[in-house]
Amino acid sequence: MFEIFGKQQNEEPKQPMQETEKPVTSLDSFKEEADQYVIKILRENNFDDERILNLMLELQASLALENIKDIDIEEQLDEQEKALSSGSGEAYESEAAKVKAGKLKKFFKMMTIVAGITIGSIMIADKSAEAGGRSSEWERYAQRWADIFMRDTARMPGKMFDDSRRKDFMGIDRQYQSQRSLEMDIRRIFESYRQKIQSDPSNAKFWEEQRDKEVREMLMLRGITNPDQPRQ
Amino acid sequence: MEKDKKLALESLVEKSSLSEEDKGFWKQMIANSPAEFMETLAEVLEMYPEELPWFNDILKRKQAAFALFETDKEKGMETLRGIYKEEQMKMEELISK
Repeated sequence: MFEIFGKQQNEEPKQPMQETEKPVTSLDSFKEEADQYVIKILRENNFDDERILNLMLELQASLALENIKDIDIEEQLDEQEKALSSGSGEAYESEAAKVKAGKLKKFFKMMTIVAGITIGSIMIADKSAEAGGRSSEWERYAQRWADIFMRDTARMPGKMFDDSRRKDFMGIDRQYQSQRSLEMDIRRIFESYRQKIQSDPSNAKFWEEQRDKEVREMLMLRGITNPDQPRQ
Repeated sequence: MEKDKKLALESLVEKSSLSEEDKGFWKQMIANSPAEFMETLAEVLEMYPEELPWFNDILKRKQAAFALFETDKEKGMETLRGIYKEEQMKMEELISK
């Protein structure tokens, strides 16, 4: 298990995964229409079930990262700064009051960072655990993510990242961007055409054909498969 | 010096009315905080030790709000905005004490 606050971490504020939950081991677990479509396309293109299962688990992890990236702590700190600076001003007239206010502001912001990193890290660990612990990289990612945010609290209440730290974080991000998987692309195409079909149901067949054509082209561009080759 | 501060903070947490689980979390945070982070914790908690339960409640509510981002980011952000407003009011209250 990753460590949120450093090497002495031995408890979690929330258990990432219940002991009764089992890792996903079968493609039957993927019931969503978009998942079913991805599985169908991959099968049609000669992917065996074990490989598809691994890809689907990576997809879950990729989608989780998308959600986690929504936890933009810097954005929240900006919001918080505005709120904390919106007081009447009467309370801060003396020098002593201003000092107290500065300390409290910094403290409240630190609590926001702690809340963000603990929850973000737990989300990543959840997904790693759901994938049956296959992706230890995700736990390392969670740990690095937490470490970087914690180190940057030392520079509060300014911006969380200096240039070198930002590069460090973005480097990790790019590493995972580059690993974004095939089925993520298929799923995006599927979602995009699902919206088109919803808004134009009378042409559903046309949109489905366009969707499948786009998926085939994407697969060919990636040099993954010959779309006309029948499944063996 | 830093060690003394850590011990003083841990003692403050131990004497508080927090649940054992929450005490564990705060002690862990204190034990593993970078120096400046701990400095701020010490400054605020030593000034307002009686407010630790309120600070703890706010921290947990922030965590719950961030957890909402996974399913409903707007709701999570709205919840956080409400919390920041409460913090601003609390700040004025504490300063005027």
